Amino acid sequence: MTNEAKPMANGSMTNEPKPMLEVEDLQVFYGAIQAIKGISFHVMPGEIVSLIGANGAGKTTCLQTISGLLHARVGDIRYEGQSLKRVPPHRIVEMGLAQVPEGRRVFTQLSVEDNLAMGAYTLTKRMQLDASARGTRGDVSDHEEALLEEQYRRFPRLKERRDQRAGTLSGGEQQMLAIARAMMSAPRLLLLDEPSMGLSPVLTREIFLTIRELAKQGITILLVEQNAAVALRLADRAYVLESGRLVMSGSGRELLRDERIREAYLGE
Amino acid sequence: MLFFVQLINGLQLGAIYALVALGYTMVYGIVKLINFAHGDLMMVGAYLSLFLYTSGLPLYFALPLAIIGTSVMGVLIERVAYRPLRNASRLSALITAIGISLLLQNSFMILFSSTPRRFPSVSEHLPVFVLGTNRISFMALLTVLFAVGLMLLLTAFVHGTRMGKAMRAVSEDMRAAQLMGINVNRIISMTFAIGSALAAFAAILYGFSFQQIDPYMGAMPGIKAFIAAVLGGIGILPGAMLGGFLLGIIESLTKAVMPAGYTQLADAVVFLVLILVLLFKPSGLLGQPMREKV
Repeated sequence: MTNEAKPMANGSMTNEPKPMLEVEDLQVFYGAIQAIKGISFHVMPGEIVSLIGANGAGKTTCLQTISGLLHARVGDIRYEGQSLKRVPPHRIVEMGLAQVPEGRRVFTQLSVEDNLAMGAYTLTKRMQLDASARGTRGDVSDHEEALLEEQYRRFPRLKERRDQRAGTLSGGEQQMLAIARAMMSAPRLLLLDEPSMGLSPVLTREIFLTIRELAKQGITILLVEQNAAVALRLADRAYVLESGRLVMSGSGRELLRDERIREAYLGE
Repeated sequence: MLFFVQLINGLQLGAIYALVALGYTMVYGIVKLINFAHGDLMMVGAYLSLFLYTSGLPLYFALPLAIIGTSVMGVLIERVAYRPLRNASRLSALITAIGISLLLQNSFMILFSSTPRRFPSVSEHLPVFVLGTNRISFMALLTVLFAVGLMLLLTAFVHGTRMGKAMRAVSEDMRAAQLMGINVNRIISMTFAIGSALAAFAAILYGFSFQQIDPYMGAMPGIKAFIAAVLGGIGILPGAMLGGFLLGIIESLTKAVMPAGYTQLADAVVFLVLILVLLFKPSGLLGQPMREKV
């Protein structure tokens, strides 16, 4: 496969599918400690890819580096063919790459609706970018309104609580809000960091059904999970991260059947 | 009656503290830095106003220009001195703030000498209220009205606009805010711009009220405004306002009851307030107990 990364016009497709996200020989350090020891992987458009691994394997570090919150010492990250190195976090969101961070991190002092408005923070900028690419102009507030309605349709409970402070929501509701908030930026690639954390099996199921729905709508998903069973069942492909290195990869189904995975991650 | 006059004086002084305290509290809310140079920005605002006015500009032109100038100065200070230390320890930033404070005081001393300057007076154009045997200056009322008005405007901005909400988001969780696509640097610059503009407003009201400015004029009000911000609950806008007014009134009434020659003790009483707050309600009057985020 040739991965010659040429910048293409917004969203256009060539015959040869190109990876949406390419991570190449990524190495990330916290001071002298190396958290990511040279990993390479890719995500194709429309795929659900899971990154599984134990606590401290470097999963969150990896996502934070992709979003620009941390910087790689070695290696490169390319999104739609464009290097994300030296791109500040807010620009990365403008490019259509959103993240639902570990631990939800909703703004507890802001109302549910204001949290969603923060998710749409880049919308004006994005629409300007799109408009200059297409030569048309759309109305931002209409677009935002439509996105808001979409989130409320997806999570009716958020609509009921739209004026409540986000800090008063339950864990599951906060996770819904975190996902809805990220979706307000109308991303093409969505990173999710441990969405099942602290949730009951029922809620976890609900959240994962939502993620599948998002994928069906054409959003590419990169999911990081400790809960390997649900993550592998959902994923088209998955990678296993162990102390900063990728040790295994394959389709979700393959990995679910793999002896070593069953023993180490599925507790069988 | 004397009590009433002192109360008005206290409110006038408190309004100035409150305006400065708003800046302290905003900056702390966003970058968790006690900007000890903030009081000196008030001094910068006062000198800029005077300088522009004496250079021949009419007041209605000189004052807005001075406010903008002070605002730019605040943004520059953050850009040059605090931003490089964003990820350093809080102590480094704090010491830098004290350094900036000394730098401002001494450069203005070199530029304008330490001799106090007379600030233009507007009181002859303003009416005076007579209440029994006491005269209450219109300036006092104007100062209070201005301070309250600006705080209301600021509150409306922070709760009602997208930028204001982004400020609150950054103040709560800077990383999550970045993941929303919020340009944190721009929000921080904006915070310093607004805080410094408020300090300049305070400077102008101070100048008109007390008629005299000098390069060290920002030091004491700066510290008192800091105490006001802590008293009200640092990071909380209405808290800064409440703290400022309370502190002004406490100071003014203390001066009134102290025998002549001991009025300096009022400052000691104000610091005593800080100690009491830190002992009994460290989160301030309007603050909730801290929930440290991990």
